[in-house]
Amino acid sequence: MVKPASGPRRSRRSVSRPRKTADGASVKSYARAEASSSEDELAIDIEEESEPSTVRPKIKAIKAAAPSKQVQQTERRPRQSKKEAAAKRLSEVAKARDDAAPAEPMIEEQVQAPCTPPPAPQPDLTPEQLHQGWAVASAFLRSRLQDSTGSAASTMPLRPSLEKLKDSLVTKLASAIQSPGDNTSLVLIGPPGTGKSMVLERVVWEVQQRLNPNPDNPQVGVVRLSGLIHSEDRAAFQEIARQLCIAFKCHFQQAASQSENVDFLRAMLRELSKASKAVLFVLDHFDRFTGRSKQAVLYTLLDSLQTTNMQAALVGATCRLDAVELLEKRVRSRFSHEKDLVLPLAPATDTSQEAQGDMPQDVLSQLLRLPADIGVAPQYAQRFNQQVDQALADSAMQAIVRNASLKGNVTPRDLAEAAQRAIWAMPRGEYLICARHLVASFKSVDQQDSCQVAAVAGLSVLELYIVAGVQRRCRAAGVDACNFQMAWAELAPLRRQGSGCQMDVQSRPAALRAFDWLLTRNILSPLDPRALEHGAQRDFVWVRLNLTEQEIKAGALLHPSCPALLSNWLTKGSGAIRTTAEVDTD
Amino acid sequence: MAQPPIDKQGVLQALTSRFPGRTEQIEQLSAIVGDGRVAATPVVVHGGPSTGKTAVVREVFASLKVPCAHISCNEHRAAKALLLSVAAQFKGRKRGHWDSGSGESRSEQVSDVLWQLPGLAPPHMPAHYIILDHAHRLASLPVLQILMRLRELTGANIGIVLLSHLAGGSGFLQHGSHNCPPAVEIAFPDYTDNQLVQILALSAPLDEVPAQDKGPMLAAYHAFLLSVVLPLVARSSRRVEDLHAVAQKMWPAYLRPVREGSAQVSERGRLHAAVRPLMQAYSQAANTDAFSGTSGSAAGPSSRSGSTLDLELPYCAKWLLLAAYVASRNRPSVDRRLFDPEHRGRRRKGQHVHDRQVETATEAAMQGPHAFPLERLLSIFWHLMRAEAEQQLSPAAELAAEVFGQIASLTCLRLLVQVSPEALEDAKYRCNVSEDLARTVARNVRFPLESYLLYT
Repeated sequence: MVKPASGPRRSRRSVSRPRKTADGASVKSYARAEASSSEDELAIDIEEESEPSTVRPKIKAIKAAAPSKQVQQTERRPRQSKKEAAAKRLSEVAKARDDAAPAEPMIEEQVQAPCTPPPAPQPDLTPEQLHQGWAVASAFLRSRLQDSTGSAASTMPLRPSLEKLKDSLVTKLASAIQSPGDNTSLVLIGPPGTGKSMVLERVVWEVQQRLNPNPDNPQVGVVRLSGLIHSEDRAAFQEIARQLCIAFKCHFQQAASQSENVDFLRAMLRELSKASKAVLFVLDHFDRFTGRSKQAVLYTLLDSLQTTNMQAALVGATCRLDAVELLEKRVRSRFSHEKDLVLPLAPATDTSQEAQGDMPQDVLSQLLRLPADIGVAPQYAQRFNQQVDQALADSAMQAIVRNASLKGNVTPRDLAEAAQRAIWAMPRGEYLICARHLVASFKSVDQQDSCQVAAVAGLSVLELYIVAGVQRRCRAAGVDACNFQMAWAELAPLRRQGSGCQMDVQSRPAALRAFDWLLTRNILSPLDPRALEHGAQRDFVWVRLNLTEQEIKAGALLHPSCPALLSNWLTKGSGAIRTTAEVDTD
Repeated sequence: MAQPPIDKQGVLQALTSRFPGRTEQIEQLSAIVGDGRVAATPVVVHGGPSTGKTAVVREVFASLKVPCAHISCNEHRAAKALLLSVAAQFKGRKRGHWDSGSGESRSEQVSDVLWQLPGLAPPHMPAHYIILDHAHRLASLPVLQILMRLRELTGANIGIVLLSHLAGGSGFLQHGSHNCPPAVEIAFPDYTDNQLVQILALSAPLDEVPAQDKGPMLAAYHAFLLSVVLPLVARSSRRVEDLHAVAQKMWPAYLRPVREGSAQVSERGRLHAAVRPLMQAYSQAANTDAFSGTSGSAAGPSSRSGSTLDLELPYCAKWLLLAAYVASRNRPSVDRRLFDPEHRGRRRKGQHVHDRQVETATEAAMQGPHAFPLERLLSIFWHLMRAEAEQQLSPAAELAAEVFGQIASLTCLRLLVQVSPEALEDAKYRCNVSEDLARTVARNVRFPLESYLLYT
């Protein structure tokens, strides 16, 4: 067994010796590296030739691959145009339906008759077919919608702007990896949930497809790091060593120290470039790597890109526009300053040419349409896709998408989540997705922010009194915080005989418990979060009310047993603060 | 996987009857789990304490036979410990075993554990879930981000369910600069009156009742809950535990006429009359925490007995406490007037001035105790001791060495709190003594506390 690296002295020796993989076979990459570097008697490679001739066939292979890709694209084009035609047809249908609702089935039949069977009766699909089809399709869609980088998502067509970006990235990286002495580093910037990771995953896949014709002897190794896990230097270098070992089939030593791992990385890169192999580093959450002092991970990687005898490329992905400015000077000077932007979706109302295909409804259709080869009956897939198109052309659905896109940025991730909800909410016995499912799920996303109101409506009367006391005190004093003592004093007029609610607010310990409860529910929160841990008296802990006036009002209106006086207090606007005398007359 | 198919509808119905008012949530959860092949996006289950979040989630996952790891974020908050526990639970082993198993596991990092997860929950196997209780405690910790993106990071077929007091979108997920991917939210709203009755009726004490009487007895219990327990408690606290505690206390009294043979179970009016004295006693006793079942409220050491203390303190410590109380309530400017016999303050007179003084006094009382430097505490203490020594001729001077030790021990008892821990020289303290306790201590050592509390 050979250690990945163990100090400078030993590493030199270990490099000039053929390594063994975990399963005992000699590592080809190393053997080849040694064939060119030192004419060692141990470096015997059977199938390999010398360096230049291995590069040339590769280029040929790429040249051969390029036209085939064009073929693919031309294949895709007619399909898209067919889809557009279908969409146009469907929008006509929708229009016609708006004009003459009762005549709807007839028109649909007329329009769709030429290419597909009529949808309303389903002669072509038996119940078993539908059932089985939905079982497969729902599992497939679940995994596609849930995981944008998984295998199910890789069958999804990219939206045009991402497709363009992916193609340019692939050519850029492939050329940088292939031509000796040419390294590149770039960063991909885009808002969260727009598909950066998905694009990167596709790019990596395509680069590997192009350059790794033989998976047993890879030309390009990919090292994926995430700023969430590997922002720490030790973890990052260990992870790099591990992934390099997996990619190029060497033995990984978990106990290696950080400096050993760094040495291993450099030695490995050097050896790989001698064998005309390369490494692609993919750094997700790129900005997290800048958080560490010295930014050792980025420095080491970028510095090794600068050295001419190493073959590598580095791609980062981040949500922060200023990610490059976060780099230290010595790191920044080694960075290529190449940035690619991932654009958010075009607004749903955009009619310009370049927005075509980048709008929410297009992405939704890409997310939901089934590809042919997932194991469902082709009739079912066809029928399903037809239903999806129909659902998206529905006027209610279009209105909802338009509203959502007007309200704020709709990201593909939001769309996927809404679609996921629609699939979850599918009632038993229905096997095709249609407009009302989607509409319902989009609406339920909208309703999510009312939980504070529900929390107010679920409080007991005494707790509501405390909320009212805190609110009144803060308003009267013109500050945004008070303590229990003050809120309790604010309720003093109610404790007098004859106010009609003295029973509710009589007991101070009960009120203190209610106050505690409000703290637990996060309706009140202490100004100093550690005040309670430090054993301060609860009566004097300063707290802030975490509700807006609207939330209190709405909650009080929803409350089943809110006393009239209290609801009067709570729903009153901020302007009128009544005196004690006025309260008593109430 | 050769698992016997689960009768999903039957399971759901059984669960719904066990958890009244949670039908919708149970259905949502089971829809999210689906056929269990593909893990769902992160789910946030939120609702107040004791609204059945943990129980419902646990039962739904258990009865649908979904493999899952239960983690309480009260125990684990560090990423490594949490993930190690997850891995151990997926392996079906106790954490302790695994830890001591090999030296390798000790040197593991977060990324090492993450490497194991795809092997434990590979994509072709049924989805595994991680259920995190008290997830709001993870707010703003980096581990939450890792967990929320676990699938993206590892490729394992793992879903995650966060149980939290706070909603995700508006609450703990959007904490600070971190942006977590959005999660599906399932709200557990507070129970309505009807649901509370249904829940309490589930635990009706009907064990000793013969089978043929169960029906009428259950009806009587319903009526009892509606007419006695809810009106009595629900206005101040709607917690199931509180209601349950009161119901347990009151139920025997409610049934006493039946047991004595003076009334039938169906005669609600007479039964209600029997429990009325107890209800009155309860509303009067509401001032004490006697009835509330889980009154975990340690409101500081408080005592209600006359001149005897229910906490043992040295003589010197009592005076120190009183001195601290005086120091924390009075303004520093008052000290001279109190303790300097030469001092002749200009007395302002008139109703107006008096009113203003009373106003500031109440305001000061509401603001709570303020911090004071150590020198001030000591000076007040010595003044008090001297006054005491003059009266009783007790050997006050001997105490000198003891004072600092007592201050330290009072700080340990949390009766004094050091506010500025970093500065040794001008250490400031705050007095954590409630008014009740201060009065009791004062009575105990016969100290006229009132005359030393001045507000100007």
